[in-house]
Amino acid sequence: MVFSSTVFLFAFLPAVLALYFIVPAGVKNIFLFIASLIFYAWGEPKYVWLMLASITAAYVTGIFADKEKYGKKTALISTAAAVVWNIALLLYFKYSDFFVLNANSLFSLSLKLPGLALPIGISFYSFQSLSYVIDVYRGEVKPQKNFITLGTYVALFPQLIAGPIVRYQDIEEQLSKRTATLEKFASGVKRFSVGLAKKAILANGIYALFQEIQSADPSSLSVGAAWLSAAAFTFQIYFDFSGYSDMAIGLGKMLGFEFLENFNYPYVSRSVTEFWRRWHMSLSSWFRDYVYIPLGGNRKGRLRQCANIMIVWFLTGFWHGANWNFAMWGVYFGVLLIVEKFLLKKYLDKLPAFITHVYALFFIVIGWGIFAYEDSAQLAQNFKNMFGLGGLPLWNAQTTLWLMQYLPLLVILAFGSAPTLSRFGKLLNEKYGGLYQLVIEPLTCAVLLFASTAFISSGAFNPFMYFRF
Amino acid sequence: MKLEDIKRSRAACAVMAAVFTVFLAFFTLGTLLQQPKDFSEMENRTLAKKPELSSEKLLSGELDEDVEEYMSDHVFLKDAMMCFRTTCDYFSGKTLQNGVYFSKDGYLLQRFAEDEANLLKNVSYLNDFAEKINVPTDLILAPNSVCVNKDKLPAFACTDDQREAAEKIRAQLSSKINLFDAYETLTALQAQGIQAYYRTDHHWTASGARAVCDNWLISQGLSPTSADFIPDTVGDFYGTLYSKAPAAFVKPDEFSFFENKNIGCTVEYLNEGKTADGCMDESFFDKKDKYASYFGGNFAKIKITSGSKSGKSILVLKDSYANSLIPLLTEQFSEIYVVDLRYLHFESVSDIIQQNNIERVLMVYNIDFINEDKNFIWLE
Repeated sequence: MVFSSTVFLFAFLPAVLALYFIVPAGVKNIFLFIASLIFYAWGEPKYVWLMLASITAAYVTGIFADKEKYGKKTALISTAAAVVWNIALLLYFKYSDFFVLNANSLFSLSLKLPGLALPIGISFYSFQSLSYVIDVYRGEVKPQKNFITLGTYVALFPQLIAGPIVRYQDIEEQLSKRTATLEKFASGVKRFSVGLAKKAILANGIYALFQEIQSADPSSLSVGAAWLSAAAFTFQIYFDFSGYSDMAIGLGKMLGFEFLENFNYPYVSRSVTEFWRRWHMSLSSWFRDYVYIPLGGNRKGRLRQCANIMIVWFLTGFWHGANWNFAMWGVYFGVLLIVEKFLLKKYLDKLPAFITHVYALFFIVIGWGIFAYEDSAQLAQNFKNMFGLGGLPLWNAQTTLWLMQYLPLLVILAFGSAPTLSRFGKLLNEKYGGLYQLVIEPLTCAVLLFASTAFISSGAFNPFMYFRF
Repeated sequence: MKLEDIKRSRAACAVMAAVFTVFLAFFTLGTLLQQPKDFSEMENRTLAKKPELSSEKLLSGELDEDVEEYMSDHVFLKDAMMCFRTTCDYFSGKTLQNGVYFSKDGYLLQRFAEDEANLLKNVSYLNDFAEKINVPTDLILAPNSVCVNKDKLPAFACTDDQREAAEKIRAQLSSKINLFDAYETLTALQAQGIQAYYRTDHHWTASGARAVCDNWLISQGLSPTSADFIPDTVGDFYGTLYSKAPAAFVKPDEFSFFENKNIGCTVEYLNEGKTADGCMDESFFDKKDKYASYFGGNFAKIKITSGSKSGKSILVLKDSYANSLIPLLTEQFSEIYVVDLRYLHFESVSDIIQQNNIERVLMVYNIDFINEDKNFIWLE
C-alpha cells in the first residue's frame, strides 16, 4: 500500500488509528503486527509469506546469537546463518535476473531469466533483520523472546517499504514500553502533513517536468532542457524520498515511536562528504556500522581505508538496484569521497561557501544523471546532451516554455531544500507563540493535507521512487 | 534545529490532532456515504464499478487494484478537487495543462503538434477515395481555435503552425478534391467580434459553422442559409477543453444553435435502427456535453431526409465539427448521408454512394483531426 493513495489515507489509516487507540495496551503490538501484514499483503499477497519467513529466521538466529547464553561458537554460527539468509534472499529475489543476464552476455549463454517480481521493501526489511541479529551477537541488545514484538519491529508499516532503516537498538525499549501522547500525535500529524505535501504536490509536480522532457521529441530538446531535466530529477528524488521518510517518522510518532532522522537538508551540502552525511542517513550509517567498520574502517592504513570506502560505496550503489548504473553511481561517489578526503579537503575548507556549494551540487546532479537511467545508451545520450555533444541547440523556445511553466515550482523546491522555511516557522513561533501554535500551524497543516488530497485524487497514479529498491 | 523541537502547549496539540481527525473523517465518511456515480460528466468517462469480493481476487492481488481504482474514482469531492488542483497549477505559472493553454479573454486553446507523416497519409487516403469515385468532391478544411486565435496565446507559448499544415494539405490534395479552406471566413468572423469558436470546447460555434457553410454554398453557386434558421440558446456550456483543464476561474460558454422550423427533417440512425425528428437531441441540453446535442453525438451512418424540394443528395464524410454544419445543409439537399469513419469500418463508402445514387461528396474535417486520426484507412 502506498501512503499517498486514497486507500491508505481514507480506509487503512483511519481504521488503524481508531482501533490502535481503542485496544488495550497489552494487545497494541499484535494489533500493529497484523495491521502491518495487511498493509504489506495489500498488492503483494504472495510475498507476505516471505516476510514472515524472514521474521522467523531473524527470531531464531537472534535467540542463538546470544554469546552469553549459548557460547561464542553457536552465536557466531547463528549470526552467520542470519547473514547468509538475508544476503541470499536479496541475491535471489533482487539480483538473480541481473546475474543471469550478465552471465549470458559474458559467456554467450542463453540461460532463462528467473523473472521474479521484486518483493516490495525487501532491501529495507532484510537490512533491519540483519542489524538486529548482529547487534545481539555484539551484545548491544538482548535477544527478543517475544515473536510478536520482533515481528512488529520488522514489519512495522510506517517504515516497512521504503525506510528509514530503523535499528532495533534504537526502538528496543519503545517496542515494549511506549506511550502515545497527544504531544507526539500532534507532532506526528505535522510531520506527516509536510511529508505528504512533499510527495503529492512537490515531487509529483516536478516529476511532470522530468517526464515531459524525457518523452519529448528529440528535435525539441536543447542543452538547457537537458539541465532542466537533471534539476527536475534532483528535486524529485529528494522530495519523494524524504517525503516518504517524513511520513514514516510522522506515523511512527502518532503510534508512539521515535524514529531517527533520515535526511538533513542534503542539498545545502558544501562537499560530497557532507552530502553523504545528510542523505539517506539510515542507510549510510548501516553500511558504516555493519560493513565499513568491520572491514577495518580507517584503522588499517590509507590503502585499506580507500579499499573499504570503495567497497562500501559500491555496495551502497548496488543496493539501490540490480543494474550497472547503480553500481557505477556508488563507485562514482566512492572515488569522489576519496579525492575529497585526501586531496581537496584543505581547499574546500577555505573556499567561500558559494563556490563549494556549487561544486557539491554539480557533482550531486551529475550523480543523479548516472542514477536516473538504467539504460546505458540513454544514460550516455543524456550526458552528451547536457554537455553539448548531442548536437542540440543551447536553448530554444520549448525550453523557455518549460522553464516558465515550472519556474515558481522550482523556486519553491529550492527553498524547500534548505532549512529556510523551518527557520521561518521558528521565528513566527518566537514572535507570535500562541497564535502560531493555535492557528497558523494547524491551518497550514490543514491546507497541506487538503491540497495533497486534491493533487492525489486528480493526478495520475505515481508510486514512490524508492519502492523499486 | 527542527521545527518539532518547538514546545507546544496542550491546546495547540489538541487543535493539531483535531485537524487531522477531521481531515480523515471528512474524506473517509464522505467517500463512504456518498451516492456512487456510474459516469463522470466532468471527465466524460465511465467510472470504476464497486469491486466484487472473492478470495481468488484477494490472493492474486487483483482486488487491491480494483479497490484502488474504485477509491480514486469515487473519492469525495473529486470534481471540486480536480478544479482546485488545476487552479493551483495555473497560479503556479502552468499556463499549459494537458495540452491546453489558458489564453487571453478566457480562451482555452489546444496546442497543435504536427504529425506530418500521419497528416500526409490521411490526405492520401482521401485522394485515393476521391479518385476512385466519380462524383464531385469537396473538402471543407477547418483550422482549429489555436490557429485563428493565435494572438490570444499566453506568453512563451509554443505551438506548431496550422497554416503550414494547411499548406501541406493543399499541396498534396488531389485535383479531384475541391478545397475550401475555412481560415479566411473564420478569421473575418472573429474580426467582426463574433465568436467563431467556443472558449471551453474544441469545436467551432454555431455561428462559425454557419459562416463557413454559407461561404462554401456560395462558392458552389448555391444559396446560403436563409433567415429561417433562427438562433436558440440553452445556457451554460463547459466543453471538452474545460474537462482537460478545469480551473475554477474559467467562465462557461453559452451553447447556441440554429434551428429551421420551416424545413423539418427526419434522421435515421442506420446502424442503430432508430429514427428521430430533427437534428437536435434535446436530452443533451441539460447534460455537460451540450455539443453532443447535435444528433446525440457521433454515429457510423446517418441518413437525413429533409423537407427541401431540391431533390439533391449529398454524402458527408466527417468529424464532429461537421455535426453543427450538417443541419444547415437541409435547405439545399433533400437527402444527406453522413458517414463517420471512426465508427464505420468494413463497409465501403463508395458502395453507399453507388447504391443510393448520391450526387456529391462533402468532406468536413478539422486540421487537428486529419493530423491525429487513424481511421482514414477504413475509407474505401
